[in-house]
Formats: sequence, C-alpha cells, structure tokens
Amino acid sequence: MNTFIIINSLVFIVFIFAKTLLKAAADDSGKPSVEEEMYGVKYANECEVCKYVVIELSERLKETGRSHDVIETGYSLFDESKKKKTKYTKSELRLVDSLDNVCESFLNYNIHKERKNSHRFDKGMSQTFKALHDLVDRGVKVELGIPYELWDKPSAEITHLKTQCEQLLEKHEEDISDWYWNHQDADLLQFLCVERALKKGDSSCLYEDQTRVKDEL
Amino acid sequence: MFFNKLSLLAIIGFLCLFILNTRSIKADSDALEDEETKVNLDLGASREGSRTDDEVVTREEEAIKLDGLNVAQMKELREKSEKYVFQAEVNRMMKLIINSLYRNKEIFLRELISNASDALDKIRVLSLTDKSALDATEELSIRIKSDKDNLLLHITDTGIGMTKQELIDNLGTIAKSGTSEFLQKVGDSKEEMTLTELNDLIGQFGVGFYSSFLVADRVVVTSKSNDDPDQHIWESDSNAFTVNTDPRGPTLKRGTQVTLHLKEESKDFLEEDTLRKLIQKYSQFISFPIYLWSSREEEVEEPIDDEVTPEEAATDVEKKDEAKDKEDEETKVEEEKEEKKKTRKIQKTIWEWQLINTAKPIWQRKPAEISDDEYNEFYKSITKDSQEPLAKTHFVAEGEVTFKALLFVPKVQPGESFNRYGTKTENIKLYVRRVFITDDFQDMMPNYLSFIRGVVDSDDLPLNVSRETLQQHKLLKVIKKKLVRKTLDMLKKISEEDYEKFWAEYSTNIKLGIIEDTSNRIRLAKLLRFQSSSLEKGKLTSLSDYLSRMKEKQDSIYYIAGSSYEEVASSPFVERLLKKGFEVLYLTDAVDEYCLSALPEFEGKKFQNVAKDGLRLDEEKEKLEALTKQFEPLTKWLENDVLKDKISKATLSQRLHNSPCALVASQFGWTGNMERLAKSNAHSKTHDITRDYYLSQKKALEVNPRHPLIKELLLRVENNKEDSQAKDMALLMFETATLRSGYSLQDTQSFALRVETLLRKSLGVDENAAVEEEEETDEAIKDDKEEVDADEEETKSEDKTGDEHDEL
Repeated sequence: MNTFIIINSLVFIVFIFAKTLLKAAADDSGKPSVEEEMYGVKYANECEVCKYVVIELSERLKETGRSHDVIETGYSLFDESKKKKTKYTKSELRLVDSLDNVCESFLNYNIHKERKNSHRFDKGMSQTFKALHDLVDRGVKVELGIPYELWDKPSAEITHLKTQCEQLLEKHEEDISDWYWNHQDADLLQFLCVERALKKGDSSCLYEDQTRVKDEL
Repeated sequence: MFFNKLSLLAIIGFLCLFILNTRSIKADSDALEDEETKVNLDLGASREGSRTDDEVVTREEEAIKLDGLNVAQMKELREKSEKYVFQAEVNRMMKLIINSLYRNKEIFLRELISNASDALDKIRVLSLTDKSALDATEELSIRIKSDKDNLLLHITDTGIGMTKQELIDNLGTIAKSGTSEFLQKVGDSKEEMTLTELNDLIGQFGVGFYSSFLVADRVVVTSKSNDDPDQHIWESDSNAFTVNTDPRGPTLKRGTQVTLHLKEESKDFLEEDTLRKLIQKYSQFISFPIYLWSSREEEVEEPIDDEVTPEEAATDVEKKDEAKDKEDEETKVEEEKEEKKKTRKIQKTIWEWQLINTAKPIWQRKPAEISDDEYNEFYKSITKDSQEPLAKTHFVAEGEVTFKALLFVPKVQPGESFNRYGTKTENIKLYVRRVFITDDFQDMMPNYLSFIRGVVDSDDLPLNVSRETLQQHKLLKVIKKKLVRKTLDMLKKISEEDYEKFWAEYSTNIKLGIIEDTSNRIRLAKLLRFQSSSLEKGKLTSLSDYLSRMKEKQDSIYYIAGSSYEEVASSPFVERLLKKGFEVLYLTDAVDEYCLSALPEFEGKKFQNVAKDGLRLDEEKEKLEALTKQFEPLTKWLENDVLKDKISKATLSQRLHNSPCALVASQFGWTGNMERLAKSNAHSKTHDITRDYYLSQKKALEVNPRHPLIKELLLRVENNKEDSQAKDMALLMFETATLRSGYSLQDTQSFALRVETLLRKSLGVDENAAVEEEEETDEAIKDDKEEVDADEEETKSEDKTGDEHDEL
C-alpha cells in the first residue's frame, strides 16, 4: 500500500517535469525566450556555457598533459639526433587534441531539472529520470508523451549546449590559444570567461556553489 | 595565427628558407663530426647505403658495360673478394620486406631514387661549406638505364657515395636501436604485415634499399666517396655479400650506382614506359634531375649518296653503332631506309638521356615569382583537368609541422561526387620532401571539402607516414586543421563574379560543412547564399547582406524552406511578413533546412523558421489579448471538438494575411518541408523511432482573425456548436491548411468528398443526386467493370497528384 502511494506521487511529479523536460532531441535553434515560455526549455546562458566549456577543456588538458610523448619532426640528412623534438605537452598538437572533443562531451550531460542554477547541467542521469527508469523497471507504466527509446536521448538544452560550446570555441579560438601558449599560469575561467567571453556580461554563474544548492534541495 | 597574415606569407616563406639554410649548414658540420665518430650507429648513413649514385654522362656507357663485367674479370673478382654475412636483423628485415611487399614491388624504384636524392642532398649541403666537395664532378643528377639483354637496371647518382667501410656498415647492418625488439615483435605475430606497416618499417629503419631484392636476385652497388681513393663494388644475392676494390678505378668519379639483376618475372621493370610511369608517379618532384635512358623515333630526310639495300643499310648502321659506342656514348642511332629516291625518309631511333621530372615542384617557389599560367599548367598536370581552376591558394604553414601547400578549386565538381560522399578521395597529394607518399589519405580534408585538389609537402613527416601506429601521423591533424582554414580563406576571397560560379557548383558542400564541421561554422556561414523575398528569383544574398537590410526592431533572420521559389513565395507563412516589409530567406534546396537548423545564430541574430511557432510580430499586446478573447469560442471549439486529435491546439495567427488558417510546427517539430524530406529519404530505417515520433507530432492550427471565413465560422459557432455545415467547413479549412502549409493529408478520401459536395452546391446540383446507372449488357458489364476500376484508380491517382501538387 505504501509503495503504491509513493509511486503515485512520483508519477505525478513526473508529469510536471515531463511537460518541460521531454521536448526531445530536436537539433533546432531558436530564441530562448520563446522556448522557455512555450515549452519550459531553458537554454544555458552565456555564462553557463563558458563555465562548462572551461570545466571540460581543463579536464581534457589534464588528460593530455599526462602524456610523455615526444614529437619528432624535421629531417636532418646526417644525423637522427638533429631532429627537432617537441614535448607533446608543449605542442600545438596537444592543444588541437584537447579542443577536439570538448563539445562532444556535453552529450554526456543531462538536465537536472530539480536543480535551479547552472548546476542543472551535470553528467549522469537526473534524479527525476532515475526515478522514472526505476518505475519502468518495476513494471509501472509511465507515459511521458515520447517513446521510451527516446527518453535518454540528449534533450534540447543539451544539444543546444553543444552547439553553444562549438560557437564559443570558434569565436574565442585565438584567446584560447593565446592562453595556451602564453598565459597558462592564469586561471582559464578568469582569462576566458570573465575577461573575454563575458566581459561586462553576467558572470555570476561562475561563482555558484554546488553544495549550497544541494542543501537547499 | 599566421593564417590571418597572408600578406606576410611571402616574407615568411623567405625567412623560412633562410632559417632552413642556416640550420642545415650548422647541422652539417656537426653531423660530419658525428659521422666520423659513430658511423655504425648512424641511421641516416644506413639509409645512405641504399643510395644509388650517378656518374658523368660521358662515362656512362663505359661504366655500364664494365658493370656487367666480363666473365673472367667477374670470376677473378669473386675469387679475390672478401665475404661478409649480413647482420641477423638485416636478414630478417629483408625476409619481412620481401614477404610483405610482393604485391607492391614497384616501390623499390621510389626507394632507390629517394636514397639517391638524399645522397645528392648531402653532397650539395657539404659543398655549401666546402667547395672542393664537388671537385670530382659538378654534376648532381640521377640516371636510370635499363639493359634488357642482360636484365640489368642501373640507378646511378652523383651523390656523396660510400667508402668501403660505409658500404659494409650501411648495407650489412641496421644500426638502429630497437630493431631486434621490433623484429621480434613482428615475427611473433602471425598476421601478415599490412602495406602501411611495411612502409612504416622502411621509413623507420631506413632499409628501403633492401626492397631491391623484391625484383632482383642479385644486386651490385658500386660506390665512390670523396673520402676513399678507391671505388668499391658491393655485391649480394641477399644471403651474403662481398666487397671488392673496383679494378676499373674511380669510373663513377663520385656517387653510387645500384645495379639490379632483375628476376625473370620482374622484367617489366626494364621497359622504358614502365620506368617512366613509375618515376613520374613517385618521384616527379625530386629536386634533382632524373634522367632515363630512352629512345624516340624521328623521321629525317636524307640525300641518297649510294645504292644500298635496306638490309645492308641497317646492318651497316648497327656496325657503325657498335664502333661508335666508345666515342659517342650520348646518342645511338638506328636507321631504317624507307624509300629509294633522291632523298629518302629515314626512320631514326634516337637514344638519349631524357629528363623525366620536368614538372617543377612549383609549391616550393615563392608565390610572387609564379605566374598564373604556371599555376594553371601545374594544376592541369596534377589533375588532368582541361579547364583552369576557379581559385587557388599557395602558402607555407609554420609551427610544429611546417609544410607548403598549393590548393585549387576546380571549376566543375563531378556529378557523382555526393554518391561517393565520405568515401576515400584522391584529391590531395601528400609529399614528404618532394617524394610522393600517397593521395588516399582520408584525413587530409573533411568530406565536404573533398573537391579541393592540390599538393601538400612537408619536411617534418617521416618518409613513410602511416595512418596507424606512427605517432607523427598525429601531425596530420594539425596539417588538416590548417588546410581547412586556408581553404575557407581562399573561398572567402573569391571575387563576386567567380563566387556565383563557385556557389552553383559547390553550395551543397558548404551547407554540409555547416552541419559537419562544427569548429568552422561561423566561417562557413559567411559563405552561404540564399534566394530571398527582396530579390528576384534566382538572385542570391549572403547572410551579411540580409543583416544590412534588416528592419530596426527585427530580432530574427526569417526563413522559409520548400521545394521551389514559387512554393515558398506563395506560402501562407510569409504573407504578413512580406506585407509588413520584412525580408524572408527562401530555402529551396533539400539540404537547406537541415543546414540552418545546425546554425544557432549569425552575428548575434537568431534564425526564425516562419513555418514554426514562436514567430512574433510586434502586435499591441492589449489588442491581441482582446482578439484572443473574442475568438476563444472558435479556437476552443476547434481544439476540443471538431479537430480534436488532429491538432495540438488552435491559436490566433500573427503571420497570416490572405489565408484563413495554417498549420504550424513546434520549435522542436518538423515543418512540412522536413516531413517531405524525411519521408522521401531513401536511406532511412523502416521503423526509425525518432523519425516516426516526429512524424506523429500534431501541429498547431493558427487562424487568421481578419479573414471573413474565420469571422463567419466564429459567428456560427457562437450560435450553434453543433452546426454541421460549420463543422464541415472547419474540416475542409483544416485540410486545405494542411496542404497549403506543406504537409500531406492523411485522409484524402474524405477531403475529396467534401470538395465534391462543395462543387455540387456551388453548381446548384442536388447534393443527393445519384450517379446514373449504365445499362448492362454482358459485354458492357465486362467493360464497365474495367472502366470503373480504371475510374477508381484515376480518382485515386488524381487525389494523389493533387496532394503532391499542393504540397509542392
């Protein structure tokens, strides 16, 4: 009896979210205001985009930074040792490698509607969906208005975030490579987002504290 | 970075050359010392082993003859010779090469020529600091001559040559650390090595020379170095080798001659044509001249001085020839007498050294010094295109990997390009130090730019780049990135007139680029062109130009997609926008709507598909609210009653003017155009869940509050919600709207019935008047049946075509 009630209330919650969450993986562009107003789709704002791009890029740089490879280039007629050698970690190739899949990685993100601010973007399945899948696993019929197979497809916010990321990288490519070559000691978040991408725009999302958000929940 | 500074390219190029020069000079002097101290450990030198050398023209004939030493001499040599065994690694390496490359034997020539070229490079570099290096002979060339009678192929260079010790070291050992381990590893794996892996191997260990044994059962290397007073002969049957002092003395003056005694099955490599083709394929851009001993026919008029029969003449000439051989090595002439007249035409076969690598690697030169004609000619030579290119770019890219590239846009793209889309293309030739490596790198250009033709030449890659294991290969990623940027730069700079031609040919490529190449979207967006409501049919606008014409408060770029200009221009969706003076882009290519969906914005302006919801024209809010309220009975009635299950909702429209209503897709849904494309896509899965989901989405019905039909409908609904005529009209309006909005009708039968009823009414025909029965005879019944069937089919197909027509 008890479980039934819980399930019921969950289903109820589900429907509230469903309306806004599940507007599927349309690869569409559009105006945030319209989407939000009509469909409750809240795209990432510029600050949020920059924040997550920096998080992902730093992650990638950390990975590529572990390599001890040496790139041999140049050709000397007489001696092998005259080859030009570049440490991978100090190479252009590493930058290219690092930038390569930054935006792709956002497809591993999901919208966590239960969180309010920039932390609504996060890797892993949202609590809401975990609960939903849980229900399905237990044989409860959950109707979301989209086929079950499409549940876990990236949502509109996520695909849009990927596009936004690509746009940011293309626009600020020179800034990023400037940072890579000349300012690696500077904080990338500060260098790229605060001082360049956002400038006078709202940068408050950068300082949002995740733990506090969780507590509020 | 330096891409932006095209204007500086010339200077950079110059600087680059300068730096290279100074660097290599320095390297040389260092390297010289190294060579003296640790020849054995020097990979460069082991490569050099594979080097062929060359000799002076005048000496050529003699040297060749001597090389096929007479039996007695040869015997004597063999008896006196010092025998050596190959280092175990060499033996294994040879086996590996021979076993794995047997299907690709021809590369032996590329390897020998490139070794020769390296040897020449070395002596050239030496001569920069030491003029006496070229004392023996000033010539720097590669000469290739086949001797069919003796199955011999000679590759001769005037390069640096090898001393006796160097011959032993370079052609007997592989002095590269890790060789044993490598061979062990390779030997352990059961699988046959791929060609690429073999290529790696050759590049990595500098063992190209051993590929000689692919085609030869015996190889003789004659070499003369400035550092050794004697010339030496190295000879091997691949099992062991001997080294002797050449009894002929320093006939080569300086350099190396590799003589291959070809196996019976490799005789083809003695053919002049085969050799010429191979040289052209792999080595046409080697920076030293490559000569091939070749013949040509020439017709000459000659006065008759005495009566000789043709046979006599021929033998005579041959004899003369033999006699001449020693003095006149340059040209051998065979004559055939053709006619006996006062003058006779003589067919002469002229033997001479022919320069094969005539195509200069013009990408190595400074752009400022190259004329357009030269570029065009070069383009034609590498593409076999008869037309001139539409655009070109020639640049040096520096950084981690320095390379020179020369890229072209052909005037015409082959029609079948998109059928082969994404498969390998052979349009960019990759050279490493002017040696042709491959043209089937899928990674050189992204798919959408596969139409670009040209060459890329880098000194920074190993001679044998592979797609797999070699770490250096990753550098191709850097090259690719720069090539794409440079290509887009080039396209941006095409003149307006030429751009029209470009767009006509390559618009689909650029649009696919927007979808595929996420890191260049903004750059690509600037290249887009579309038709537009502000321009006459067929004229195109760029997005920037659209922006410059935008109204002050307009916040979006409006567009509509359909199958033709006429269709979109008369679409209900653009009615009011056009009336209010907004410009709408007309997207009429199949790929267009996909393309713009991938583009989030252009210079800060969002895109608005006018067939989707979210379109807002600045209406006064109160007025709108009042209207909404006024029409609520109608919209509610439509939404919940008549069109329940057919539409997602009914709202007042801001975009209609002439039409009473229209079907609008959601921001995340598919427009009629998209549905049409998705349905007609032959490559789709039968039950693609995503596709089916989208196709099942209901659309919103927008009604035009200013339209008399809508006003009338409102009145009727307010009077009586059950008015059957109103219901019929609403359904018919919905069906028409479906068609006019670009969608297809689910139920064409009911639609046809409703239209028919309407026709009866407007013509004053009784609604219930039945179709006249025909008199039925036996014959007639048969005919009738058939006729009815045909009729039915006709109406059906009429419906269908009607649909499609409207849809279009």
